[in-house]
Amino acid sequence: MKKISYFVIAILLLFTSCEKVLDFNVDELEPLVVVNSLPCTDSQLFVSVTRSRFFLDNSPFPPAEGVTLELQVFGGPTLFPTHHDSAYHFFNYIAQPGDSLTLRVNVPGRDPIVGSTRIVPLPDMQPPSALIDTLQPIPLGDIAFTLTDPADTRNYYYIYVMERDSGSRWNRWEAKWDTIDTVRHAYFNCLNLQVTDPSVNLSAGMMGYFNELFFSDSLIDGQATDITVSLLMFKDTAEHPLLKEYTLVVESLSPDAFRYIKEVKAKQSATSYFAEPTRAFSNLSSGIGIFASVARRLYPLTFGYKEPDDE
Amino acid sequence: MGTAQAQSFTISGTVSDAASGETLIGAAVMDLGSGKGVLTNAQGRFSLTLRRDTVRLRVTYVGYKPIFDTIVLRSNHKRNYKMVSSVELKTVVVQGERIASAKSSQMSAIQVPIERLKAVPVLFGEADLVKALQLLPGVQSGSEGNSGFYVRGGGPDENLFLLDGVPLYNVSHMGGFFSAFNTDAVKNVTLYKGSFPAHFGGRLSSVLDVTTNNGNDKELHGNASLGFISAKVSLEGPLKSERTTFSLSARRTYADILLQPLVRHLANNRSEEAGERTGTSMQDSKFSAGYYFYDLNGKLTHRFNDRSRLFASVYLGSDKVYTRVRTLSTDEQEQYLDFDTKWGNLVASLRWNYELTPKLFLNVTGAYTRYNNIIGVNYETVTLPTDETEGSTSEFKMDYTSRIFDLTAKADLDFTPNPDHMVKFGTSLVHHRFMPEVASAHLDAYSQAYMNSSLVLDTSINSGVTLAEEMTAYIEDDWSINEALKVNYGVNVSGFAVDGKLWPTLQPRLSGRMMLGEGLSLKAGYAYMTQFMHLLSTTSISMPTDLWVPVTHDIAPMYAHQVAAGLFYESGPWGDLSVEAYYKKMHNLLEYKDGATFFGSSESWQEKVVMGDGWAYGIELLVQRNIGKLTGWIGYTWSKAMRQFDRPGQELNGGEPFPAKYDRRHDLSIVVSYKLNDRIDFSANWVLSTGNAATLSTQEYAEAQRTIADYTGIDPEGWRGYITEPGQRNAFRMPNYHRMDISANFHRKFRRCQRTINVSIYNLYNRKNPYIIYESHEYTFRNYNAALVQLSIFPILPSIAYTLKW
Repeated sequence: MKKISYFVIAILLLFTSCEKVLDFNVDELEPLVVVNSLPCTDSQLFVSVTRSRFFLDNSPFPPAEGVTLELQVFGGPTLFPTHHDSAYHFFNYIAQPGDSLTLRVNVPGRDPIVGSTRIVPLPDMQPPSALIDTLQPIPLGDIAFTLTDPADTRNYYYIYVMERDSGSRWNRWEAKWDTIDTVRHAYFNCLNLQVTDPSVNLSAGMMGYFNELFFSDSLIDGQATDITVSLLMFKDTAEHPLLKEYTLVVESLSPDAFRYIKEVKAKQSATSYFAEPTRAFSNLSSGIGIFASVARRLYPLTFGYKEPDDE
Repeated sequence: MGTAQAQSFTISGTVSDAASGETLIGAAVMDLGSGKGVLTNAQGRFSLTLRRDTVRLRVTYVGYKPIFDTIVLRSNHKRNYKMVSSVELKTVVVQGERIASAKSSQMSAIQVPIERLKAVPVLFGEADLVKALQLLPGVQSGSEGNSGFYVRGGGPDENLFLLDGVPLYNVSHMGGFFSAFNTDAVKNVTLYKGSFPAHFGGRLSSVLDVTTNNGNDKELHGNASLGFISAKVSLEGPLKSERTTFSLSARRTYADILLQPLVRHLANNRSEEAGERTGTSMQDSKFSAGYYFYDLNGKLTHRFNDRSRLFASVYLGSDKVYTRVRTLSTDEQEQYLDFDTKWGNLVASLRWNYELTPKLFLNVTGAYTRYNNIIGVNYETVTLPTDETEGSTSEFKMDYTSRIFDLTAKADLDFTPNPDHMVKFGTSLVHHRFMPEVASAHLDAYSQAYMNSSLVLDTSINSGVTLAEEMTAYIEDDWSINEALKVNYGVNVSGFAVDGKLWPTLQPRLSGRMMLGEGLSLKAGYAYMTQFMHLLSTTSISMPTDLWVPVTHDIAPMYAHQVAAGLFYESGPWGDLSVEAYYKKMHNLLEYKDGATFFGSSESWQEKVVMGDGWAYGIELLVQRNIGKLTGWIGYTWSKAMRQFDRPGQELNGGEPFPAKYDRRHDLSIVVSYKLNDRIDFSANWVLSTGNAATLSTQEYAEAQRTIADYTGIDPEGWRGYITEPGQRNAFRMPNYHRMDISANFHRKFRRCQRTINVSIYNLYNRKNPYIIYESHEYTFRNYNAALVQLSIFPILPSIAYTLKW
């Protein structure tokens, strides 16, 4: 056994990796101007204009200085920001469904950055029901609602549940734990889609461990669809659901917003060292960032308890 | 009388090794009187037509004692020459083979003696044909230890790997650390980097033509070898009589078996730790995981008579990664997880050689090729019933499969009307069946309490099968115009029929040689090559997820023009020198779009790719010494390889040109072997090359604010993420690569066998060469440290292998 151990140790030593820090020339990099705005239906429009940072830097993104912004709704009169706070520029405009917007950001010494979007309508849905199923080995919080998809247009949806909890976070600057509220996407155990029209044969589901759902309406175009989201709830939460706050978020996304959010999430979760680095989607000319509309419904959830007879 | 003098007769036959009966490829048969001569073909056959006379032939093959034969030529003659190795004659001078010849009309071709390839010290002591070829000028390796193959600025999919004339799709084992060629089964290796003869086609950048052993026709021989990570065994010999011979080789790695106890131990520790953290305990847990690969080469040869031979050969190679987990937790839940990934080739071929006339030789081949790549996951959860709850089960299966099946029929003819012309012509038909992407998922959940019914989800994505026919016809002539001038010219006509569309191509080939003096020649060549299939890869190393796809109705074939010219000098015992320059332009190269992967999308692969062009040029220098106790070569390449994807909607790098992944300005290899005596020999190599190109995400920028703070009251800074922005593609250079390897062989002869102990050291001076680079972010008290870090995987690696040959 001793000999085998030596052999195993020898193999491990041989495979021991070696790491070395490489030099990198910082001077070659010129910061990029980044324009971000996801106009939200029925909300005030704001735009952030920042500069990029060197990839080994962790400081906050600096606001882009000296820029001017212009907004046009349906090609009408030009609107200018009423005020700005650091990188955030606020317009006196509340996004309305169907509005067509063009944003222009003038940057000294560069071509103007231009983007456009059409404000999408709020998702057509009824408030959800929320029941806790304590008969499962791990209690599930079933959230059910019906989503009606408008026909004849390609629509995109993003569904998730925000879970708010109090907790603590390590403050690395002051080397102590701070008490904070934490908000995160709650994890689903199961998600089912069932089109309510019996003449349409669609029943799709997902099982596993995921915390959001992106989809286009290609399968449910023009249909009313029953959606059930089963949240993973541990026993203490199931017995005392008021310990945490849950909010169902259902978003309609414009095609550009859908692509942007999906690609950004894919980039941030990519772990392969061998994969070629890629650029995230941008719909801006002469710049990077995004200008695309989002419509969001929020439903704070109050859970009841599910009885076996409910089924 | 005049008529009698003008009459010609043909001497035809084979040249083989006297001891083993193995035919010798490229042996020279020459009439000393007229100076006319020919080389044996891939089957060891020759045909020499001379005028009626008394001729004195000399048969030579480097490393063998020449044969002289006087023939009174008044009719056609049949000759089978059996040559005796100079090693068996115990000649004092050790003579190697030239890996490039000044007299051949072919340029950019390298014929490497297999014994020399075996002598090159390599990783884990496992002789590897492809890694040894990477030491030649114009051939570049991928990342550290990888058997990826990049020839003259081409990609890894632009190389045609032929095993006994049949293409192999995947030649990588172990993520590319080893190639699929078992050196014990290989007889001859020729690498073409350009100026391709017309009988080759189907790839842009190189042809690696590997011929396996036929088998000893005199007696049973074999060898067995035990190395650091693998074991090999080979057997060859006659079956019943000299007419039928066999050759069988097998190789398997065994690291998975040796490391299994360690893997289980680590897994158990982890599950115990996890149990302590979560307050649960795993009552019963079984875990196993591992990786292995194996190769099997088999060949059966039957000689009906001197004019007719039949060869049946098979290659089977596969890699497998597996994980098995079985757990039973205290909450009465059983979980089963099986994860398997396997990939590999099966090639089976039947060849029939027949001498139709002394001048005309026929080779008919039928072959079946299968390439498989399967990733499978099976996850099952069983919750046992309790007093309070009913039981439930759920099963999730997912398979990803990529497959290619080929059926090949081809006929090749060699016609030697006279010593000045050697004509090759032939035709082939390949039926391809591509299944590039088949993903299927199956979910079956049953829970009485929860649903009181079962939920079944069964999907299949992109299950399309593509059928295609590839047709080829070619003709070429190796023409000795006079003593100084020789040309090889020909044309390859190919067509690929797919999706109701035919992609026809006409590919002219030309290469020529002019003797400028004794041993000094000038060569030049041009080749137009077309390729009807692509390898899609998202990574810089060989991965099982790399996807072979055919051209389609919308995806056009790749094609390339390459011109090359060079000077070749053979200076007898002192060494040979060659200098070649080349320029290659490539079109319709395929890459994944930015951000696209082989997985996780319902899009067809055709919607995930973009097309572009590339160009490469360089100068290659080869100095070699073939005679004496000290042999070896020095190879140096200066080169540049670029890509540009600027077609509308298909831009990469903003449409601007960028260096190819393995663009390297300098590449130097020094390989030496020294034979001290019959019992001990040494070899060493040193390589130095420009660092690999890489794309770095040089900047970061803010992700768009999604106003979550509006309803949670949470600090938006805590929510907001960032996005990385890549810099110019392949603009960053890793540090230069250099490494020295050494090895020594200690031979000892016994009465019935010979034992060889090989001791080798890879990376002798423990150079930390970059394998990958990544960003490291570390938070410490009041400090944030970020750095660009290179990871090196192979430090100094000694290894030992024991081989018994009988």
